[in-house]
This record gives sequence, structure tokens and C-alpha cells, in this order.
Amino acid sequence: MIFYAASLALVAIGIYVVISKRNLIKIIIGLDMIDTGVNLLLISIGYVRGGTAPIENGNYPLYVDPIPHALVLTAIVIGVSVMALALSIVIGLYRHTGTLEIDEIRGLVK
Amino acid sequence: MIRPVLLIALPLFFAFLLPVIGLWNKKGVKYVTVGVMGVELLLAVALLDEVLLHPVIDKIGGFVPPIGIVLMVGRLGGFLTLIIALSAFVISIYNLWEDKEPIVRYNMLSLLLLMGSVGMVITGDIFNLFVFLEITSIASYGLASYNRDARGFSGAIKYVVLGSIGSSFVLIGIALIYAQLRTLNMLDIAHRIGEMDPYVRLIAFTSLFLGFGVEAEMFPLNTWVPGVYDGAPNAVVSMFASMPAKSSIFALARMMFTVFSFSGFMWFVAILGLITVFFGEMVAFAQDKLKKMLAYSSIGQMGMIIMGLGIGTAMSVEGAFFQMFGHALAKALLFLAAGYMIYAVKSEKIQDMVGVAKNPLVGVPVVIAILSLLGMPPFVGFYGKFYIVLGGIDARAYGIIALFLAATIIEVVYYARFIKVAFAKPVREYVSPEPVVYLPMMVFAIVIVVFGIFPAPIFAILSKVSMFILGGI
Repeated sequence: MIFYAASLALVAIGIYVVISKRNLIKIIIGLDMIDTGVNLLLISIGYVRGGTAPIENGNYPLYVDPIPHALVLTAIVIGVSVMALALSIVIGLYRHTGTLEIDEIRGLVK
Repeated sequence: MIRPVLLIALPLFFAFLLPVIGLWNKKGVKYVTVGVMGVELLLAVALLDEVLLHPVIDKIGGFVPPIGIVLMVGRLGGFLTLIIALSAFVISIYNLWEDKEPIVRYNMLSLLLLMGSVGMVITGDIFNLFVFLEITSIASYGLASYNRDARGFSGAIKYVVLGSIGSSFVLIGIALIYAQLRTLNMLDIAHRIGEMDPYVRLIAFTSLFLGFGVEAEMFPLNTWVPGVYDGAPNAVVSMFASMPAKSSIFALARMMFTVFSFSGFMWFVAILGLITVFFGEMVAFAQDKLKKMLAYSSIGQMGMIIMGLGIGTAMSVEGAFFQMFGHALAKALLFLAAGYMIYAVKSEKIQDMVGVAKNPLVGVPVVIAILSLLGMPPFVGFYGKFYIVLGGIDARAYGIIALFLAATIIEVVYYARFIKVAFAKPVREYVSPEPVVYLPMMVFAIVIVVFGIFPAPIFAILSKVSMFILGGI
């Protein structure tokens, strides 16, 4: 239960950061926090107390659910590529406007 | 027998083959893309032909469901695949005119966009749906910032922020479903949805609904649309209006009907759709730039589709699917025409476009598209709106229908204003369009007219829509 609460809290903090911060880099950090929170949520769903790695040879009867691990691996890869793309767009925006504050960008881009 | 996985494999294979082809022939890449999209269209036709007889379920890797990933295509999925493949093919012809540097990457991204959109429609696994959503989004982010100017980048960054929050919500929804049911297969979830805790089910549905709502241009989540549609190249905007938006709204419909087995009138969805219609049409009315007006009008049209799904009678859902078809064709046509007009006039303002559509090669398709969007009888758009209204009357949602009709009047006003300017006496000579510019528009216009006069084939495809509402594929 505490895992669920912690990961959802991370998601909530991330959303707060995205909404309240006016700097693009900070917004992207917020997006990353949301991603991490969701990934933790997925991992904690598959967690079994005292479970080992999912090796089925009879010696380890109690093992964690492997599917969320596969999902999280995929989600991490996707998250990293979105972050890279977002940062490269921010670099492009910075080259054109010379600022990272969204209020200033809004004034410059017409 | 055609395997649906071919529709994903073909564009994916060629997307990553293009850089190799580009090594020895840069120009050839564009023609390869057109060819691939043509083959994809043929595959989509063959697939639709097959799913009309029975739903196709393709087991990837030979695992028996619910283990392993399946692709599952019903009638509506086949129909949507055809819409997406048709739009992609016709728009790729238009791309031959717009020389976008670097050509190779542009064509790669558009093939990936096609692959992601088709994948979202034909997959039968919710995590797979998420992966395709992300492929579509990442390709869209790249294409949205393709002009590499401040406007393109600022539109794209809004899209990235909203889009990635949206997909995080989709993932939360998937995680909640998996936590309760330990399965990712859509049909398996649908069978066992009753075992879920009702509160968790509601939260999961809301997360998925909000997540797909971002791409489907639903009201509070669509602030990215005008920026992206304003800053992206014209052919890209056409693609956005007809491909990812349609596949995510189909994903929404599948979440509502197939996975969560909701049926009957959904107040929440219908009213959100109605607000989207109002928001889109009112703001479109206030625009003086052509592309922004079309962007907000697109939001309004997507709102109509969401409303039709929310009303939830067989007729209104049928109308919603008809509207998807009509909107994909007409809006893609109008964005292509807008590309030519902005190029010919060298201004984006509507008031500068005096007489630019006088040339019948452009004017006739534009008028057909606008009339179809407004819902005039001999065109495809008529059936969409008409059936949504009929369905609403069936469900006794008179208030919603009255407000909906009021909102569509605004649409008539701003399109009439545009027609008045564009067909006035020209103040100067404009460059006449090249064949690759007007041929795609002609193709869209012909499809709009033909299926407007003979809608029977489309109705035949949509005839099983009541089964879809009751939780079929």
C-alpha cells in the first residue's frame, strides 16, 4: 500500500511541477517525475514480499510477477526517448528566442 | 487471408530502410514512400474485405490469448484502418510538391506516424496500444517541429508536455487494470471487468479517457492543437487531422464500449463533447488566420464525434463513425488547400486571400469539403451529423441536440465568411497549382461526393455497430 501511495505522490508532485513552474527545463523535470512515478507504480504492482527473480525450476516457489518488469522496461525506453526529444525541442526554441521562460516565449512567438 | 501484422510491418520496415535508400538516391525516397503507402492502402482494402466476413484475430508469436500479444480487427477497425491508409496515401502524393528538407527524415517520420496510427486501431492488447500511442506521439512531436522555427518549436513543446502527461495517464490506467485482473488482453479484460473494484474501475477508466482525450483533441486537453497546427508544415497538419486524431478517438471508443462495456447514455462524455464543440466553433469564429481557423474547427468536429459516442445509441455511434470518415477527408483536403493558398498569397490572413479559390482546380474541391463539413445533403458529412442528431433524439437528449445545432450555426458563419473572401474578384494573378497539388484534393473531393451520393457501402460496414456498443470487437 505504501508503495502505491508513494508512487502516486510522485505523480502528483510531477503534475504540480509541470503546472506551476514557468521554466521549460523544470517542466521537463516534472514530466520525468511523472514517468518515474508511473514506473514505480507498475513495479509495485508486480512485487511479492519475499519473492525472488522469476526462475521456474522448483527451487524458488515464490517469485515476483515478471510482466510488470517487461512493461516498465518498455516504458522506460519510451520515456527516455520522449525526454530526449523534448530537450532537443527546448534547445531549438532557445536558439530562436534566447530564453527558457514560457511567459517570455509567448511574447516573442506570434 | 491477410495477416493484420503486415500493415504494421510494412511501414516499419520501410521507415528504417529509407536512410539506406537515401544514401544513393535522395529524391527517390519520396517516391518509395508514396509506393509504400499505396501498398498499405491495398492491404487495408484487403483487410476490410476480410473483416466484413468475420473478425480477424492475429496471434503474434503463436501464443494463445490471453498470453501474448494479439491483433484484433473488427469491422470498425477495418474501416478506420482504411480511412487512415487512404488519407496517408493521398497526402503523400501532395508531399511530392512540398520539398521538406531533410527529405529522408521527413518521410521516415510520416511512415512511422502511419504505422503508429494503424497499430493503435488494430491492436488487441492495451499495453501494445500504449506503445503504439507513444510511437504515434513521438513521430508527431518530430513532425510538429519540422519547420525548425520558433513557432514550430513552441507548438511542439506544448504538444510534448500535454502528450506525455496524457500517455502517463494511459499507463496509470493500464497499471490499475493489470493490478486487479492480471491481464492485458482487451477481450479478456472485457469478460472479467465485473471482477474489478468499482472505484478502481472508475479511476482506471478516467485515466484512460483523459489520456486518449489529449490526442483526440477533447476540450480541456486540447490547448496544444492551435499551436501545433499553426507551426507545423501543411501536409503534416493534414496528416494530424486525419490519422492520429482518428485512431485515438477510436481507442477512446474501444475503451468505452469494448473494454469497459459501458452502454447507454454517458452524460459525462456527451457533455464534454458538447463543450468541445462549443469551444472549437466559438474560437474558430474569432480567428483571422486560415490555418488557426481550420485548427479550431477541427476541435469542434472532434467534439461532435465524442458527443456522438457519448450519446451511445446505435444511430449516434454510427453517425460518429461516419463523421470520422467525413472529417478525415474534408479536413485533410482543406489543410492541403490552405497550404497552396498560403503559398500563392504569401500571407496567412483570411482577408488577404481575395479570390484565391477562383481557380476551379482548387475552388471546386474546397467548396465540396466545406459543404461536407457543414453537413449539406449530397456529401459525406451530412450522414454523420444527421445520424448523431437522430441518435440524440432517440436517447431523448433534446437539450444537448438543441445546443449542438446552435453551435453548428457558428460553423456556417465563419466558413461562409471564408468562402466570400476566397471567391471574390481576384485583385491580382496567383500562381496556378501544379498537378501534385490539386490531384490529391480532387481525389478527396471525389471520395466525398461518391460516398455522399452512394452511402450504402459505408452503412453496410457500419451495420454491426450495435454489436460494437454491446462490447463486441
